[in-house]
Amino acid sequence: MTTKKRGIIPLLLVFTLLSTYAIAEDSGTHNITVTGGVKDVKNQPVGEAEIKAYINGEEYETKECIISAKETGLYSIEITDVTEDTKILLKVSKPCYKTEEIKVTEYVLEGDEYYAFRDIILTRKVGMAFYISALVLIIIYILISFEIVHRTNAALLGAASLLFITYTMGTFDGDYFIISFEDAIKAIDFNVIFLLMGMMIIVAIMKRTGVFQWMAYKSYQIAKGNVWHLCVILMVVTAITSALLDNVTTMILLTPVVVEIALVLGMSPLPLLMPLVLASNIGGTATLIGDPPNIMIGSYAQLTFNEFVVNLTPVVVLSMAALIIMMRFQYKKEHTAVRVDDVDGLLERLRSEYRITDNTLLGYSLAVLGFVILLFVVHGILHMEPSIAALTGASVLLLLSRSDIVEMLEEVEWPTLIFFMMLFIIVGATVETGLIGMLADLVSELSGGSLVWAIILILWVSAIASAIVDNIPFTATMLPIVAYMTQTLPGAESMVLWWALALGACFGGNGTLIGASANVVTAGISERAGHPIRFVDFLKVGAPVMFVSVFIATIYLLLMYT
Amino acid sequence: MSGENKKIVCATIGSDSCKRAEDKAIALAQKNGKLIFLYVVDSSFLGSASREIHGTQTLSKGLHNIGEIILDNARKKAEEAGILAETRIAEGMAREEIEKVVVEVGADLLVIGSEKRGWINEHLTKGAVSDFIEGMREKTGAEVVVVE
Repeated sequence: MTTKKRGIIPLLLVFTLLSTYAIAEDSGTHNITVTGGVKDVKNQPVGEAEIKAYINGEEYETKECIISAKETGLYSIEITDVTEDTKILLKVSKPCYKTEEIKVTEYVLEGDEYYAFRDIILTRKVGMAFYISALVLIIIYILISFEIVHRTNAALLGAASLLFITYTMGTFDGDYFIISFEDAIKAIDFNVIFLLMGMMIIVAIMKRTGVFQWMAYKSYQIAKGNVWHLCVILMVVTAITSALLDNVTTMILLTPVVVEIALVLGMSPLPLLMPLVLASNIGGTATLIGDPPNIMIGSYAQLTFNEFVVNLTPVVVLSMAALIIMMRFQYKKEHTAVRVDDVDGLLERLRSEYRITDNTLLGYSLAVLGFVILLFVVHGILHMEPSIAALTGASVLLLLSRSDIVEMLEEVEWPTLIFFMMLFIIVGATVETGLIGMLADLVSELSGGSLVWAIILILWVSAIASAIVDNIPFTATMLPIVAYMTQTLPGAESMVLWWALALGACFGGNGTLIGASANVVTAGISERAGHPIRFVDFLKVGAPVMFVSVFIATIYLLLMYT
Repeated sequence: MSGENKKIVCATIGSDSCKRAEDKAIALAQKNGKLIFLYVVDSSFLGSASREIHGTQTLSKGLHNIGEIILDNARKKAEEAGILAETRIAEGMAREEIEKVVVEVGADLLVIGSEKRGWINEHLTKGAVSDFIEGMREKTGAEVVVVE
């Protein structure tokens, strides 16, 4: 720099402070704004990448650390006192990515300002953070699948260890930085949490009215002692209830009544319970709120309640029809062997045991549930997250029922909600470290860029995986994978891959006894009545139903969306 | 066993092996004994979390009704064999509740059913039944008969 130039620097600084632009044609120095976006190789924005500028090899001091924007990946860095000879180098770094060095050589003059536009492509780095997140995910799956510890405990342990490693080893060595606390909190989908919480409160109040057991009694009344008719009516009732409320509660409330009917009729409860639980898992697939995987998918992909109903109900209806036919063949002998001599006697017994306990509360509950469903129907138009509808309904019903708030809130499945939150953090970490991206690439490669193969792959892998492992962590892992494939695969913009995931994850629950919580609960109650449902017993009846329903779903999706 | 008036508790859930245990208990009671059939409303299979969540009350009411039917069937069977059997329903963990009732009534004999579990389960639950028998004998002083 010349002496003359040096002399005008203070003036230039003052000028710079007074205006954001500063052209110093006279002095030969000028200010430059280097701007652009930080992206990954898939052209997705990368937020929170740290950008450092080096001027002629020396680090350029900025007032604040320059970080790319979270959502857009955009960055902007203003450098003063640049001459034509100044060499500008940007070093862009982010944990789990390779550090990139970018030379800034070309400027444009816009108005009175110089700009350099540089997009920066960051590539993933398979480092310690990647391996740790993968290991934690695998360990969590093992702990949950083999029930070594409670699933909530497993997820808590996973999320806590990821954050602990980040803020201990990751503080000293960036290679161990897995996920920031801010990103971990951001990864939790509170729409899912609040929706589940709201619906749990509504169900907790509703079940006090005895309406669920009353429905089983009414089913018997309508069937007039015909066991096969009773079975079909109960299947339909269970499917509809499961579509609107959670499957586990539905089965906990209906199973004892059905077992009681079976015992009084002198038959094994299995020919009634198996069709019921299979119907519950199929019915729960029909709506956004029917099953936890659907709640997660709906929230992540911003799919509305109506979209779920329109796209999934036809498959559910077809699968229910197939289930009824299959159950007729499966249990025809057992159903027809029962001779009901004293229809009225049992009816009277059921009437006295399972009556509506609180008509006023039932009225309030049904009105609120109806209102919540109405809000679900219009939530897309109102741009209202479904959780708001559930929370509104829950709070109004709590008020109307004059329930003890503490008692009612104790009925909220807090362990499940915590499980969801921790799981979101674990999956968020695997997204950050690039594991999910790698899996998405693998699935894309396997499908060979074909939408048809992608649908088949997602549907069947989801179904088989959900029959073996908990479908909640599986769905959480699949969400970003399916999101990536929906963006990149031609034709997938119809959202078909989301429907494939929903149908696979929900129908898969029928594959084995451990495929869905509703199955385990039903088997537990049946065992207490001296009729255990063994793993093999369930497999023999459930697996064919799963295969047929997933096959129906495959045909439906391929016909409607390709 | 001597010919004195023995108190026999038969814990049942109405399964095949339990039905055989009921028969055995009836046969033993016929020799000179007082028979009590017991059903335990045990919702522990739901897990501690789930029990709180889904409400033990709702489920236990259902299981209570189921228990009544099971006990009623057992009582009728005993009646046909000329035995006037008493029935009881307890609520809690099966093992603990059986123990409590055995102590409470001062039973001399406990008759239970045990399902054959197959090779894998036999190995997984190895010793579970013998542990139960040992524990029950130690804590209650009652003799335990297991019917498979």
